[in-house]
Amino acid sequence: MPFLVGFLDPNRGAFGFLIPLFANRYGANYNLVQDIAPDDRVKAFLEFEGSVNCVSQSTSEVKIGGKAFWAFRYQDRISQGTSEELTTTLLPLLSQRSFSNTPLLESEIARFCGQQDIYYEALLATFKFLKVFSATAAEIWRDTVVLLPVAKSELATILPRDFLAKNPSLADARAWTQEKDLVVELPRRMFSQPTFATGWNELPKTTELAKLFDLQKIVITQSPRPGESQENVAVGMKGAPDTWQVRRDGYMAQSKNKKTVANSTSSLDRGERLSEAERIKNKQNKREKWLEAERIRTSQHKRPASRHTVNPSPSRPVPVIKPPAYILEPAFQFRSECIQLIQRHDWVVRTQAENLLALIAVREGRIFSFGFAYSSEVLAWTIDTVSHIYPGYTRCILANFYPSEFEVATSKKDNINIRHVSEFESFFNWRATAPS
Amino acid sequence: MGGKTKVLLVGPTSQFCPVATRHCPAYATYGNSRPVKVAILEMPVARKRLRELVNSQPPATPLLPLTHTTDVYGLINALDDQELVPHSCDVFVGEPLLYFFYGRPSYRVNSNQPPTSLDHYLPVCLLFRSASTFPIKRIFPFDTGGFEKDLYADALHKDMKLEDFGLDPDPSTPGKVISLFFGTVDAYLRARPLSALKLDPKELEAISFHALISSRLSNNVDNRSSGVEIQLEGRLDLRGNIEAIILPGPLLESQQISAKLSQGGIVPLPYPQIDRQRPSEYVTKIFDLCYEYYSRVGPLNVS
Repeated sequence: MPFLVGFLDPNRGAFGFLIPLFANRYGANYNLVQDIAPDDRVKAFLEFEGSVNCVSQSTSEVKIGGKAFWAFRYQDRISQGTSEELTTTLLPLLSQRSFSNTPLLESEIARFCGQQDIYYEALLATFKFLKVFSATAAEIWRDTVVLLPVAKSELATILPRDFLAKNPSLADARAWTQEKDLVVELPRRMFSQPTFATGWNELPKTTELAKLFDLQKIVITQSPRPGESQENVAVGMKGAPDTWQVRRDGYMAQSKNKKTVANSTSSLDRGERLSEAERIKNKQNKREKWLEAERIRTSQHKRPASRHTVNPSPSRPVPVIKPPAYILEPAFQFRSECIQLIQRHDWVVRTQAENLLALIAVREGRIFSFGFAYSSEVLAWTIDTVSHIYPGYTRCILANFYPSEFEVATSKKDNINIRHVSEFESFFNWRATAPS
Repeated sequence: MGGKTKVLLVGPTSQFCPVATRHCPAYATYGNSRPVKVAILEMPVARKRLRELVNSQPPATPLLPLTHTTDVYGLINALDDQELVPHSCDVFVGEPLLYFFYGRPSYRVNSNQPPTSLDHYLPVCLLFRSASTFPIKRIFPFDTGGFEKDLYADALHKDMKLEDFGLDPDPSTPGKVISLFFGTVDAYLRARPLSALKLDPKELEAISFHALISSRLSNNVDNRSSGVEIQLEGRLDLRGNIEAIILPGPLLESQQISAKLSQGGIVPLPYPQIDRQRPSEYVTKIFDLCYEYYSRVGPLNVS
C-alpha cells in the first residue's frame, strides 16, 4: 500500500495546498500522486516526476478506493489528512478571513470546505482582483473557470441521454457573456439528429452563480457552423442554430432564429437601422415565404393516406385515431402557422395545462421520440425536422402540460400513469385503439 | 566518371554513417570493369515526401501564437531571468533547444519521464505574441518526445524515422500542416483532423500521420500527437514577447509574480489548483482558458 513520503510545495513556501507524494516502497525510483475521483476517493496512483521539497512528519498509508489524502501549508504549519480532517482545520482560519488578501486561494479553500457564503465573496473579490490586470482576463476566468464547470455538471444531469452519448464529458462546451446573458455553447455534433429536449430543467446552481455576477439570463446554444461567426449564432441569423433559454420559471425553451442579444442586429437590419414596423414587416415576409415553401414541399411529398393510420402489428386490425379525442383549444397560444402545420399534417393536439408543449413522434405505431418545449415555433420546427428526416413517421401527438403535473393530469383524466418514455407507447396504443 | 572508377565506398552501412538509412542508394563502379550499380551508400537524408506535400499547401489563417509549457519553477525562473534558457533533451542529444507548440497549450513528453510531472500536474503555459519572430530550428507535426517514447508506434511504420517527419523551419509551415490535415485553425485547436482526407498512396508519412491523429490511440498520446512542435535554439528574450500566461490561481497572488506580469502587460489566466489535484469530468481545462483567450482577444477574435 502506498505510503506518504512527503510533499511537493508548488507555491514555494506560500500558503496553499501541497501535493502529497507517495511511494510503494523505500528507495523507489518514482514517487506517486493520487488520482482523485469526484467522490474524493483515490481512483489510482500515478507515477510522478518530482521530488519531495517539504517533509512530512508521518507516513500515512492510502489505498485505492480509500479517502483521498490532502495537505495544506499555512505559515509554518502543515495540516494534512482526509478532506473532512483538513476542513476541520481550515474552517476557523476561513471564518476569520485569514485568506482574504488572496481571494483566488480563499475561493479554493472555501469551495473545498463547502463554505458557500465565503466562496461567493471570494469569487467577487477575485473578479475584482483580475480586473486590475485585464477586464478580459476577469471575464474569461468568470465564464470559463467559475460558471462553465457548474453549467456542464448541471447540463450533464438534465440533457437527454442521446445528446450526452455523443459527448459525455461535454468537451468543447464554452461559456461567455453578452450583455446580461450567460451564453453556454454546446458542440453542434450533440444536436445532429432530431432529438428533442426531454425533461430539460432549470440550472439552479449556474443561475445562482450567474446572478452573483449580475447576469440575468442563461442561453443555451449550439456552436456555430464552420465559417459562421459567434455573432451569427447569438443573433439567430438565417441558417443559424437554435437557442434554448432558461425561462423565468426555470425551464428551457428552444427558439428558432430568435434574437438573444438586446443590442444585436439581424442580417436585415445590420448596417441600417430599421423602424420597428419595418422589422415586423420583414419578419412577416420571411414567415410567409417560409410557409409558402412549406406548402410546396408538403404538396410535393404528400404521404399516402394509409400512413396516417397506425398499424402496430399485422395481426391486429388497423386502428383509426380519432382526432376529436384531442381538442385544440381556441385559447391555446399556437400561432397561426403552427396551427396550419398541425392541420396539414393531421396531427392530434390536446391541451391540459399551460405553457409547456409536448411532442410525441410516432412511426409505424411505435414512439420513436418525444420532447417538451415552451415555444410553438420550436415544435413547428421540430415536427418539420422530423418529417424531413423520418418521412415514414405516421403521426405526432402534440400536447400541452407541465411535466410535473402530467402524471397527475393524465392519471386523473385518463386513468394512466406515465413515468417513462416506454410508457408513452402504451399510452399511445391505448389512445389509438380507444373508441371515440 | 568515364565509365571507369575505382570503388568509392563498400561496406556495411554502419561504417559510414550512424544515421544512414537503407533507402538512399548511391551508384559506383568497381575496379576496371564496366560500371555497375552498387547500393553502397545510404545517405543521412530524411524522406522529404511529407515536407514537400506540406509545402504545397496554402497556410491556414489566422496565425496562432507559440505556446511554451513549463512548471511553477520554470515560470519563476523565466520571470526572474527575463529569458527562456534552452536545455538538452534525450531526443536531440547535445543540442540545447527550446520547445514550443503551435497554438496548443500542450506539454512535451520526455522519454525518461514518468507520465505525470509538475508541468503536467500544475502546468504554466506561456502564450507568445503572434507577431513575434523567432529563429526556428526545426518543425515537426507532432511532439517529438512522444515519437521517441514510441507512443506513436501503432500508427507509424517501424522503418519511419523522426527525420522523415521534419518540416521546413518556416513560420508558414504550421499553417500549411493545419490546412492539409485539419482544414481550419479551429479544428486544429480542438484536435479534430479532417476525417476524409484523400492522399496519394505514396504519401506514406502523411497517411501514417493522419492515422495517428485520427485514431486517438491511447490516453498517453492524447492531443499532443497532433500539436505542431517548433524548436528554437539559443536563449529567448521574454521581454515584450509574452502575451498571456495560464497558471495556477494561487501563484498569481504572489506579489513578485503579479508585479512582473503587470509590468510586462501580460494577461494572467488563472485556473484552480485544487481542480488539478481532484480531477473530474467537468473541471476547467487548460485548453478552455487558452481557447477563450484566442476567441476574445487573440487570433480567433473576429470582431
